Amino acid sequence: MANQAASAGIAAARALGLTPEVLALLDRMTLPSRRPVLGDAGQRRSRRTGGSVEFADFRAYVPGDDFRRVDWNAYARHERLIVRLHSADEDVTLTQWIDTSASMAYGEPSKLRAAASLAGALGYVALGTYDRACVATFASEARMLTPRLRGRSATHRLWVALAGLDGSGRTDFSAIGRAPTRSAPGIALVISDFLSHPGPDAALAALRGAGQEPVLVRLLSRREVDPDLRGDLRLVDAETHAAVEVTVTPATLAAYGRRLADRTDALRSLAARHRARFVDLVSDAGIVESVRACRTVGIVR
Amino acid sequence: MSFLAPLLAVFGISVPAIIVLYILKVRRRDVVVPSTLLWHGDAVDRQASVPWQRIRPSWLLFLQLLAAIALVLALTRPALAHPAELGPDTVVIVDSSGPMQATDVSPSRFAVAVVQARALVAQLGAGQRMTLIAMDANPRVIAASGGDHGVLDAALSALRPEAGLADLRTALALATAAPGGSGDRRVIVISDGVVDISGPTVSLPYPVEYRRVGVSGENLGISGITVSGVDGARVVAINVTNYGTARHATTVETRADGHLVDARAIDVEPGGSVEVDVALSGSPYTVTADLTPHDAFSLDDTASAVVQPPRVIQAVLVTQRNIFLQEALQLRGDIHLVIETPASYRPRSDVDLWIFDGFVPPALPAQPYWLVGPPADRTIGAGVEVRPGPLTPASAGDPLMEGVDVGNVAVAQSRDLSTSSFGRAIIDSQAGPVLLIRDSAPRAALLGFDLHDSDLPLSPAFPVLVERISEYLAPDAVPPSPVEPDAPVNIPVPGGGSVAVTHPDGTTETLTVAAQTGDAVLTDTDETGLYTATIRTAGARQVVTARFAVDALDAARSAIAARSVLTSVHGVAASPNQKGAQGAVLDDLWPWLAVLALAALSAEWVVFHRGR
Repeated sequence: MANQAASAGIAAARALGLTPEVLALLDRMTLPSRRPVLGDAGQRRSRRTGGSVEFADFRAYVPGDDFRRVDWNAYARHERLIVRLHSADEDVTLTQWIDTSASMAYGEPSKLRAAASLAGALGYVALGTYDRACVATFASEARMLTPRLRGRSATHRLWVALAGLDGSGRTDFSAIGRAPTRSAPGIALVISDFLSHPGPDAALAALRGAGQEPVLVRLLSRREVDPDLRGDLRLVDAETHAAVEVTVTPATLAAYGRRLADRTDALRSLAARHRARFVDLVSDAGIVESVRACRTVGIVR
Repeated sequence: MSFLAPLLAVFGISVPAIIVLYILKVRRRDVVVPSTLLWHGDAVDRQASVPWQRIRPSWLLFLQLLAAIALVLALTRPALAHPAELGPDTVVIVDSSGPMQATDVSPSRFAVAVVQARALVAQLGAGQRMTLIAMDANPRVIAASGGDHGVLDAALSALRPEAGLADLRTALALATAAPGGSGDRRVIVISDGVVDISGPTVSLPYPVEYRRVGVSGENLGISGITVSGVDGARVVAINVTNYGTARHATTVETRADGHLVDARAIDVEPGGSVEVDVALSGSPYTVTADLTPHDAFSLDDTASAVVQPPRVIQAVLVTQRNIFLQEALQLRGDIHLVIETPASYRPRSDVDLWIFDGFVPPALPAQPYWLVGPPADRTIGAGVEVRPGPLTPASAGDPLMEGVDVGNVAVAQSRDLSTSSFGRAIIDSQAGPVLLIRDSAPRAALLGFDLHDSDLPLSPAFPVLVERISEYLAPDAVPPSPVEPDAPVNIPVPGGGSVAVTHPDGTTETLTVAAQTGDAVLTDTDETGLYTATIRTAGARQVVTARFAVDALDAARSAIAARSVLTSVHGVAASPNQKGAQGAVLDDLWPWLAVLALAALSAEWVVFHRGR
């Protein structure tokens, strides 16, 4: 049974482009946290003081504190209740929200496959360093694809889940906020093409409110960055099926390029407003380049 | 405004067709894209679910409509009617003669005439024709009847003023003979009226309009230049004439072989002449007189003369005895006459002219010769003796017979020359010709009777005839006196050969020697000044160089006062048609519309490509 799961996982890794060479590269990476996070005991040191054995600081007792943490020796000397604080060793939960709307099915390779590959790679890094990882999808509705996984042995389950993704429906970022089971505090990657309206403003606020550190990963196909369209066309939206009639000329393409740049700037500003990081990727860049881009902004190191 | 091709307005259907094309929606190809979010905005044409769309303001639409409307209008050939100055058939005679070089109007009479002719060409409308005639000493059609402005303008551009006197009679004859005469012809003469119209009044069936060019008749010119005397005592007499109506002063500069030898200030009364005599030292070859400063008509301000060296014709009279011939030949001072008997005759090359009296040499000489009263001879075609009867000139106007009256001359008997192929007949009789001339080299003459059998030697015509024949047989190399501009110059080359003439401006022209006459004819004598003829006679070792002068000395040319009317020309009054078709001409507007359409299409192209 275990062998079958391993075989399925290896096949899923191949489907996601996670070759042994790529995995060897990922083995040298770890998942940082830009700030200490509150979490259960793990390999990562938190600024949140907790119940681990390493002394961190003193503070005055306040009602509700665990009496077991009171330093009675200090009380004897100073006649004041003082609590001993210890640093908490916490792990990080990497939650990856993958846009599975119909628009993500486009591109060569498709944006959805590139998103799954990236999620598989980053999840491998997280699980390999005894952090926790889970994957959720969203389109019209949000869905937890995996529970919070831990340990390298869970990577096969993660990859199998990612390899079976399929795109359909319309993008609705508010579905992230409506998700009944939001992940624990940690890093939350939202991987999408962000080609929908309204944007991820509400989702970012919800993630931030849940104590998560959001990261926006914008993934476009090469044809979206540099359209190869020309002539009189009726463009049909893959998600809304709405049509616009366009005469594509060099001037039209230049205007498209300006709008794409404006859209990118707007996303960058939105991310900054929510103290989130922003990564811009193209689906045909390859998994290695995509991971390097994530390392550039500090998602992995 | 009227339309010359109104039916072609049917192409106006293209205008609504263009509008319909803008209203009809473009058939578009469906392409599914991940999102249309970035395709909204000004790049989007329009979204509609109907096959028609509301027309939107567009530069492309405006320019395409403008081009279509301009092209359709051009096809219908709209034309504006305006009062016509020209009739349907106009002949414009542009004076390009010597007096038109006068600069009393700026820049010159000729240039003003060309400008006026161009203005007439510009007025030429649709359906109107124009013939252009250049009028100088040799009038000619420079643009045959047509309406092409380019051709007419090009003909005027190529026209240059000549030096001769305008031959108005010939120009009017050309105007009458020009093609296209339909009764609506009108002749416009742009001239100063200084023309050669000698003879009876010219009556034309067309109206003739004279447009005068020139305002002043003031001109001081050289009317004569003569060199006389002998070596060491030569004097050049220069006549300066005032053709104007005011007294004028000038300085006469005289140059001998290019060197200034005299400068003399003179005053000349209106209509008067002053002779300036300048003594020449040495033996100059050329003398040039120049009036300084030049006036408005400079053509006659310079004149030249060539001092020809005295010429001696070596002539040999072979005769038993003929005192008549001997006396007549010796009347010419330039003939050195040697008399020989037939027995002592021997051919030689140092003789310019042979006269054989009653004798035909066994072999005719290579030099010019004259056979007088020959015996019967098959070689020259002299037959038996006949009674010729009264003598008559063979052809009227022969220069050889000018001033020679043979009507009362009696001839007892003459050789029958009726079957002779010696040459052309000069004097004829009832029994056939009695005087033949051979024009080909060597020139020769054959008089069929013995002078002792006639009273011709006693006639006043005899010495004249002898001089004419001897001059013809042994002519001067070049004309001895100044030649008028545009007059042809005969350069005799009796033995055949080649002639090269260097013009005053230094250009050299090679002339063809006519085998029939042995003459080379120089026709391009338009430029005044000194010409040099280099004559290479066939078989001769030496090359003869002769100079002659072309001077504008003719008073008719120098009297440049513009005439107020053309005398001796009578044309009919102009009819309404000759003032234009129904008093108006139509100016085609289609070229302007075509230009507008082209400009609109060019702008449309630019707008389209800037928008791409």
